[in-house]
Amino acid sequence: MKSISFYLVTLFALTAVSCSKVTDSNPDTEFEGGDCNGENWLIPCQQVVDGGPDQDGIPSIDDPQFSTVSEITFLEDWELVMGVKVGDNIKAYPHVILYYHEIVNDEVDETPIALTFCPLTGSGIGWERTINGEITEFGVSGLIHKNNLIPYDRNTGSRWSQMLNKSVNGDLKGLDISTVNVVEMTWGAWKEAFPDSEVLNTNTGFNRNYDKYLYGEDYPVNNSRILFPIYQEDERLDRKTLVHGINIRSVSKVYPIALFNPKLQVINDVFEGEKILIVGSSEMKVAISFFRTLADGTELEFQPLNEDLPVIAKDQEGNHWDIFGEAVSGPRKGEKLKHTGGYNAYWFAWADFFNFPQINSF
Amino acid sequence: MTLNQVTKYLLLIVWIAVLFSFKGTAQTCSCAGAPLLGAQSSAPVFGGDLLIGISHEYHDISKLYVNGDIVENESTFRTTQSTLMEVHYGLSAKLSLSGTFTYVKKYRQTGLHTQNPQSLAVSGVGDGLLMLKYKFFDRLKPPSLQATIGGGVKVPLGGFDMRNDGFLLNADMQPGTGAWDGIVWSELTSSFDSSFPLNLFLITSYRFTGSSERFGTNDIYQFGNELITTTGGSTSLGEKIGYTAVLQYRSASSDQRNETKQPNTGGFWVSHVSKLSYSINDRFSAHIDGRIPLMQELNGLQPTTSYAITVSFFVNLSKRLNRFY
Repeated sequence: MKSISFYLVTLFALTAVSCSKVTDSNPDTEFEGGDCNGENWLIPCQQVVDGGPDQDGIPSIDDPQFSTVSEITFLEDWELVMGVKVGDNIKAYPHVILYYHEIVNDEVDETPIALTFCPLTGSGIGWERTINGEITEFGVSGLIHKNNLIPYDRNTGSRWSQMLNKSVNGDLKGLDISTVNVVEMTWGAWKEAFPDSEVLNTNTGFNRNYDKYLYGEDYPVNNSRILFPIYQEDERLDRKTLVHGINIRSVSKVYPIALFNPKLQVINDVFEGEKILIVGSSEMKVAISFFRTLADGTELEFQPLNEDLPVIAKDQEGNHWDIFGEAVSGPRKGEKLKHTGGYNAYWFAWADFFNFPQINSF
Repeated sequence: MTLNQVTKYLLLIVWIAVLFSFKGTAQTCSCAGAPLLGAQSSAPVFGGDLLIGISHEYHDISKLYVNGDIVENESTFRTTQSTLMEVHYGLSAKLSLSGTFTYVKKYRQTGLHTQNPQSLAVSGVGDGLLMLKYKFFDRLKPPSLQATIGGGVKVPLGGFDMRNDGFLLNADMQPGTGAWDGIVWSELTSSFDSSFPLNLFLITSYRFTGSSERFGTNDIYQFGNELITTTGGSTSLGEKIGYTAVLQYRSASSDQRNETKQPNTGGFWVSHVSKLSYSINDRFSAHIDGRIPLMQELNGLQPTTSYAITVSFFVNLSKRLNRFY
């Protein structure tokens, strides 16, 4: 009896060695089209995964508090902030806080907006919170698509793709969100450009360690540290290369921010027949984009202006333009350039969402 | 050397080979997993003994820590309930076989700070454990001393691809881990004579973990290696009641995906366990224990143990009676 027990146990052990891996079921075969559990999605729902925290497990900031630039002591000059300007109201939202909350529901100059930031894809986009005439709030759904945040709106429960700027599931499925121009740059540059602006502070209503980045300080530069699958890998650039990307009629182009001159560099570009202004600086880690053709048909050509932040460029008419695309002096003072809708993100995410983007050659 | 001895040494070699044939990367049942290793009963049985136990653990995982500092958790509530069945059989005077099987229920509630909190419960068969233990030293004269080593495998019986609304759930919400693990285990116990009824023990276990393909082929997920060291003592408080006090140290290395460390995983924990045992009769005993963390140092921001309570019943079919396990 004892001998049989020994041999059975040994046989089991040898069997265990030969079966050392369990292959998970391939989710690609489980669903067809865009249907998941009876719900229709505009994106392949087999690419959508539960990120772990579930809905509102990552809490959005719904009552943001602000301090003046001089009162902020928790930021180093190299750290990034996202900024918006509505009317004369200018606000900045530090990345280090956004890592923990991903969405800030705010009002800027009485305009309801949401700052959405996905730390995994490095994408920061401003959204208007008025949809179909009703003001909503956005929350973190807990779902992930191609490493990217999927917010949900609290009025209808619809899910939205952050990088596609579109509702992909629910009552509002198919609706495009109206974006707000967001400028991302280093805190050191922001302080110089907007010393009188308001800055989101750490009184978020939640107890978090805002001294440390949630995914580690090396996440933005560690090309191996990707938390979820990449479905369309493009090795023309390193994965975590931060790019400013634009989409014109479903064709995509990116401008790697590190390849701009250290001081402000202007590119008067033409892309898909559109005249595009690109301004960037590798030192300030900033890149913005606007259409160069005005409503009256005038095509502007720009030159950089350094040493005069937030003014960044002048045109052939003598207008000076700030980083938010507003003419601050000259014959067109007060006019605004139309934003392209472009935003910054890591290269791996941009290439995963948008087919074979063009890469600007500097 | 007799044939029996040769057989035993050969089997030991086989078991060692089994253990080290597993890839030396890590997979840990996260804090939210079933307490397979930590629940291993001390004092293995030998010589035809049979010990069967059933336990139920309620594990509250609602504390939120950043490194070694607690942060207020306003948004989530998590628990794991595990039902474990242990079977320990004495193959010989020195060799015993243990099997542990689990059923796990995981629950999370999020958005507690909002008007519309969400809840999710996942349940199913969890992973199992098979271990072979060999007592290589046994001194009966008080203070007695026994030394036992063991090795085994964690068997991926549990599901690892459960979905919510069609979406693959995160690893720490799955009942199982999807991978085979190798385990080494050791135990030292010492008992004093009846004038000083105290039993001391030191148990150490280490898990080398395998990997699983989480999102499909070539997408390899591995939990962190796990070390658990438990030391404590048990004594009688009367004819039928015993008390055990335990200090447990557990450390886990970071999870890895495609051989890259995942943030906010891994760390170490030091916990205290107090256990009361009641001898219902010569063969049946009941136990209740509570575990609280004394300190922890975690990598990044993680939910972690608030407390755990376990209730167990054991039936002892061994030749030696009146033993608490």
